[in-house]
Amino acid sequence: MQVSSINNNLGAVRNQSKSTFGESLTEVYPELKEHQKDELLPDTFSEKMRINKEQLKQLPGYVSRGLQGDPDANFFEFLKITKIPYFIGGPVLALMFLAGKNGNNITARNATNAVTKRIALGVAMYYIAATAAKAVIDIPLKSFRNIDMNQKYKHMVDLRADTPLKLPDNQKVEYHNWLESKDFTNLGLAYNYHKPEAEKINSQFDEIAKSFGVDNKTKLNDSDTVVGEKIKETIAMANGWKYIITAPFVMTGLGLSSQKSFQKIGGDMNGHGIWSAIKGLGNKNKKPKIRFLELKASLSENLKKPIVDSFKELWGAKGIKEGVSRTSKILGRTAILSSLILPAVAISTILAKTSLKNHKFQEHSSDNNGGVQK
Amino acid sequence: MSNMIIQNYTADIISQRKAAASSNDPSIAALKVGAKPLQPKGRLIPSNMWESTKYAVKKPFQEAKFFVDAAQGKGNDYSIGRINDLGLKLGSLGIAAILAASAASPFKKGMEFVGFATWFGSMALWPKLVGSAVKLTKGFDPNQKYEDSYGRVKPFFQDPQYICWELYDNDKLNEVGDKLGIPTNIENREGAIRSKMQQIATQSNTWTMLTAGFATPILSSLLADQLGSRVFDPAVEKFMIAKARRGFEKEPSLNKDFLSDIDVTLKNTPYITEGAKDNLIKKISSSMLGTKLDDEVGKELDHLFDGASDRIKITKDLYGKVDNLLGVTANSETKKMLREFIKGQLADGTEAFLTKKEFSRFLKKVVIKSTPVKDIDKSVLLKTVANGVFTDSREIEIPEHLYDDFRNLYKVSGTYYDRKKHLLKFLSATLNDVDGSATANNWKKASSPLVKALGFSNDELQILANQKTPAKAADDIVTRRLKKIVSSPEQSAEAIKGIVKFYSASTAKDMKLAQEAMRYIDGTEELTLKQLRQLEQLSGKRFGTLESGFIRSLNSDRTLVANKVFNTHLSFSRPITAMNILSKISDGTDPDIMNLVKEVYSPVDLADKQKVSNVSRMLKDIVFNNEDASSFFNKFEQYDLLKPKDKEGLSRLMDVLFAPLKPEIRQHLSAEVADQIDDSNLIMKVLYSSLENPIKPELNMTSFDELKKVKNVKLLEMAKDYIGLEFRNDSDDTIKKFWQYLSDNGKFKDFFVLLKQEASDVGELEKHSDKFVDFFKKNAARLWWQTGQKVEGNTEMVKELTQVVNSSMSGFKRFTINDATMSAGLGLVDFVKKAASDTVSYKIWLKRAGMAAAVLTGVTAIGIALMGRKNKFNTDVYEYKREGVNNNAK
Repeated sequence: MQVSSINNNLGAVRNQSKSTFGESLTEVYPELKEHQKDELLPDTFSEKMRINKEQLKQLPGYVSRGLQGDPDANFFEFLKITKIPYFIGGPVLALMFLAGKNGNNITARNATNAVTKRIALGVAMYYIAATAAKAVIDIPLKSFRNIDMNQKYKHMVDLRADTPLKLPDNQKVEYHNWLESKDFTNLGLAYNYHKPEAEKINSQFDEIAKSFGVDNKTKLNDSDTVVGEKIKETIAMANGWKYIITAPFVMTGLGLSSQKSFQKIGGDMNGHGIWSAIKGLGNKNKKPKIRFLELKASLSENLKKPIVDSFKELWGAKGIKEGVSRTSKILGRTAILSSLILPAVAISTILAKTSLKNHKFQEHSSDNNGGVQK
Repeated sequence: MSNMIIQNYTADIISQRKAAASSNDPSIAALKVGAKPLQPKGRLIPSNMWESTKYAVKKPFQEAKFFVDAAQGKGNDYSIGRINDLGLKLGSLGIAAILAASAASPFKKGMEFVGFATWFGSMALWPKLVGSAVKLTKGFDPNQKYEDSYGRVKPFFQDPQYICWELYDNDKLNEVGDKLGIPTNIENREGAIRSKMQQIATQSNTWTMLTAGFATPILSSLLADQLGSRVFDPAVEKFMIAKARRGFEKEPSLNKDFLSDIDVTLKNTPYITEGAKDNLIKKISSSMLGTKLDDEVGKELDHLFDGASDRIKITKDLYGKVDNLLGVTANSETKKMLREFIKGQLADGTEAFLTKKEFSRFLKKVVIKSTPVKDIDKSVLLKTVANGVFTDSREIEIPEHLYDDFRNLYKVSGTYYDRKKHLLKFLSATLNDVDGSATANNWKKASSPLVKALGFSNDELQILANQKTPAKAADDIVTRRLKKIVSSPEQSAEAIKGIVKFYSASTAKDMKLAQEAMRYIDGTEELTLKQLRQLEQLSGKRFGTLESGFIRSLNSDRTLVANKVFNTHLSFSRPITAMNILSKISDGTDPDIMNLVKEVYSPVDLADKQKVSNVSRMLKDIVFNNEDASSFFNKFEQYDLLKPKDKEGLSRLMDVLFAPLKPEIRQHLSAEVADQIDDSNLIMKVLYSSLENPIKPELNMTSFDELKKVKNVKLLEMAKDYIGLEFRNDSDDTIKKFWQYLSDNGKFKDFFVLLKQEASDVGELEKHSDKFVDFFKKNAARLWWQTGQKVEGNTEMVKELTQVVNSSMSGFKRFTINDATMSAGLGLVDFVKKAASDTVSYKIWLKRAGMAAAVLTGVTAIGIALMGRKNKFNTDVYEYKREGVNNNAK
C-alpha cells in the first residue's frame, strides 16, 4: 500500500515527500500560501464527521474521473472507490437469496424470507465485526498513547497544468490519515511552525512523548526524532494487529448470527417486535412512562436476549443447545476466546514495545546540540 | 543535525577515500569514486498459470512473516498492507468453518465451504475476466503485475503517477500502440502510448471496482449453484455412503461405561442390592430404547437372577429409614417395635441378615400398629415401605456364572445396538428422506425432467406451483395434459422417453442400495443370533424373548427398506401407469373396464356410454390422486354408481388399476423397464389382495402366468428342480399334478421352507405364500375332490398345512390395506405439483440471477468498448512529424 505522492507533473515538485525533520515548512516550500499547504486537522468527532461528509461528496467525482481515465486519478482516489464494492457486496449477496422468492408458494416464501433474514443478519454482523476489530486497537491507543490512528490531515494535491478541472490554485483536497504510512509518515505536520517561540516547535511531540512514558522531569531536546520512530513502530504494529484481529472477530460475528436464538432479533412480525414497540411510543392511550417501559422490555426481549443467548449457544454451554457437536463447540470457543485474548495481547505488546519509560536519553548542554542515543 | 557529527562524517569519508585512492584492494575500489547505484532487479511478471499459482501458494506464508515483523514494529507499507489479505482469508475460512459446524446436514456443511471457495474464486475471477476482455480488445493486460527489486509483487498500473515504464519493452509498447490505433507518424509515440495505456488501465481498474460489488455475489451464487448440483451433491452422497459402509467393516463397539459398571457391580461380588441391580439393568436397557428392545433386554437381564437367593441386611440406620418411610403413620409403638427388633437382630454386631419372608412378616406387624391415616391404604403403605427398604437393604446373591452371562448378554445386545446404529447411518445416506441421501437426490433430479417430459407450458407450471390453486384446477390441468399425450403416439413416445430418463437410473440405484441394506440386515441377524445361540449354549439358559425381539425389529427394518424402494419406484412410474389407464379408458372397448362396469353398474336407466364414462371418471380419480381403492366403496354414489358386491367389485377394480401395460405404451419402453412396471403393479394387486378381512377378493388363479412374471422367486424353476416336474402349461391339470405330488410325498412343509429360503424380500415371499395359502384354502377341497380323495379326511391336512404355513410365516409383517396405501408412493397430481413447484422456484431464481449476470456482462462489454476514447481528460492531441523527416517507425 504505497501512498506515493511522487507525481510526474510538469514542473510541480511541491508535493514531493521531502522530510521536514528539523526544517521549517516555510523553508522547504517558500512559495506556498497558507491554504495551499498540508495541514493536520483536529482529532475531534465533529471534525471527523465533517471530513467524512466532504470525502463522500467527492466520491462521485472520483468515479467519474476514474472512468474517463484522468491521469490525476491517483491511488488515493482508487482506494476510496474500493469502499463501494465493500458496502455493496454484502447486501447484494442477501438479495441473491431473495431472488428465488416465489410469492405464490406460501411455504417457500416464508422459507425464502427466513433465509434472507439469516443472510442479512450475517452480512450486518460482518460489517460490525470488521469495524469493531479496528476500534478495539484504536480506542486503547487513543487513551493510552494519545495517538489517534484515524486523525486526518488535509493534503493539497497539485493537478497537472493541462487539466480541464477548474479548481482554486489548481489543487485538489484529499483527506488522508495522518498515520496512514510507515515509510512516509508526514510527521512534519505536527511541528508548530505558527508558534512564535522556538522551543515550542516540538511541543506536540513533547506531549506525545509523555504519553509514551517519558518522565515529566526529563527534558527532551529532540522529542520529534524519538517519538517519530516510536510512532512509526506503532503504525506497523497497530495495522498488523488490526488486520489479523479481523479474522476471529468476523468468525465470532458470523458464528453468533448463525445461532437459532440470533434469528429472533427484531421479534416476530406479528406485532411483538421492536418496530411495533417503537411505533407504540406514539400511542396516546398509554402513559409515557409505560410506553418507554414497553420499549425497554421489547428491546430487552428482542435484542438483548437473542444476543446473550447466541453467545451461550456459540460457546456450546450445556443445556442451551441439544446435540451440539464437538467441532461446533471447539470452533465457537476458539472464536470467542481469540476475540477476547488477541486484542489484549495486541494492546499490551504494542504498549510495552513502544514504551519510552526506561529509555535512556542523552541530556545535552544548553547549546541544543544533543543527539539521542539509543 | 549537529555540525560536529557532519564534520566527523565528512572527515571519515575523506580519509576513507584517501585510503582507498592509495590502495590496491578491489573491494574498496568503489570507494575511490563513491558508491554506484545498484542495478534495478525488477521484472514484469508474465500473466500465466504457473506464475499465478506460484504466487498464490507463496502468498500466505509471506504474509504471515510480514505479520511477525509488523508485530515487532518492523516492515514497510507494502508488507503491512499485505497482512490485510491474510486476515481476510483467515477470517473467511473461519466463517465457513463455523457456519459449517452449525449446519444441520453434512450436505449443508459442505456447501458452506463451496460458498467460501466460490466467493473467493469470483472475487479473483472478475478482475481477470475484465482484464482479459481489455487485453483482447486493447492489446495489454491492465492487471499486469511486476516484481520490484525487493521482490515485492505489485500491480503495474496501481498508481497512475508511479508506473515503472522502464520495465516495459519499447517493442511491446509499439505493438500495443498499433492495436490501440495510435498514429505512427507522431512525435514521442511511446509517450502517447504510455498515456493511453495509463488511461485505459485507470478506467479498467475503476470499472472493475464499481462492478465487483455486484459481480462477486452474482457469480459466486451461480457458480455455487452449478457446483452444488453437478459436483457437490453426488460427491457428498458418495462420501456419506462410503462412510456408512466403513462403519460395517469395523468391529462392533461396546459401551465402555457399561462394561466397567458391570465389572464393578457384579465381578467377584457375592451380593448385589436390589437397587444396584435395578439401576444397572435400567441403565443398559434404556440405552436400547432407540431400537425398541429396551423391554426385552431388561427382562432377559433380570431373568438371569431368577432363583437367586436373597436376604435383608439389617443395620442401625434401618430404623431411620423405616421411620421416614412410615412418615405420618409412625407413632411411638412403631418406633418401639423397630428399636427392639433392630437391637434384637444386631445383638452385638453391626449387621445381621434375615430372609425376605421373615422381614416382610415383621414389617406387616409394624404397619398394622401404625397410625391409621385417612386416604392411606395400609396394604399400599406396606408395599411402599417394603420397596423403599429393599432397594438398599435387600441383597440378592449373585449366582455362579452370572457375571459372565450378564456380561455376554450385554455384549449381544450391545453388538446389535452398534450394528443397528450403522444400519441407520447407511439408511440415512441412502434410502431415507434426508438431505443429501441417494433417494433425496433422485427426487431432486426428477422434478425438472418430469415437467419437461409431460410438456407443461409455463403458464400451466405457474398454476401448478401455486399453493393457492384449488385441487380441482391442478387435477384438470394434469388430466388434460395426459389425455393429450395418450391420444398421440408421438407425444406418448416423447413423454415416456423423458420419464424413463430419471426413472430407470434412480430405481436401479435404489434397488441396489436396498439389496445392500438387506444384506446388512441379514448380516446383523446372523451375527446377533449366532452370538445368542453361543450364549445359550454356554449358559444353558434360553433367551426367547430377546431372540424374537431381534427378529421382530429386523423384520420391521426389512419392511421399511422394501417400502422405501417401492415408494420411489411407484411414484416415478406412476405417470406411465396413469397413461396406461387413460389409454384403456379412452379405448372404449377395453375388456377390463367393461368387466368393471358390469360389476359396478350405474342405475338401470343410464345409457351404457354414460356408465362407462362414470366408471372412467372414478378410475381416473383413483389413479391421479392415489386414493385408497377400498375407500371408493364409500364414494361410489358421487359417481352415480351403485355399491358393488364387495369381493367381485374390488377384484375387478384391481384388474383395471394394476393391469399390465398396453402394447401401445409398452412399445416405447425397454423390455426390462416394462417388465419392472408390470411386476410392481402385480405386487400392488396382490398386496391389496393378501388381507384377512372380508373385503379380500378371490384371486384369479386360473393361470400361473402372473407368477411366472415375478422375478426373484422362480417358483416354477424351483418346483422343477426340486420336484422334477415339467410345467409346460398353466392349466388346472398342472396345478392338480403339482398338488398331487406334494401331497403324495408329504412335501408341503419342505416346499414352504424352500419358498422361504428362495424369496429375497418380505413382500415377495408374503405375496406368494399368501397366494398359495389362499389357493390351497379355496381349491384344496375342489382338487382333492377331483383327485378322488375325501374332503373330510383332508380338512385335517389343510388345517395342518395352514398351520405350517402360518408358523413359517410368523414374524413377517402382514400388510393391511393401510400399509398397502402407505407404500404406494406419491400420488400423480401431487408428484407433478411438487415437481412444478421445484422447477418454477429454480427457474425464477435462475432467471433473475442469470439476468443480473447478463446485464453485468453487457454493461461491462459496453464499458470496455468505450475505454481509451478521447475525452476532456485525455485530449489525444498529437504532434505529427514534419514532412521530409525520417518517419520510419521502429
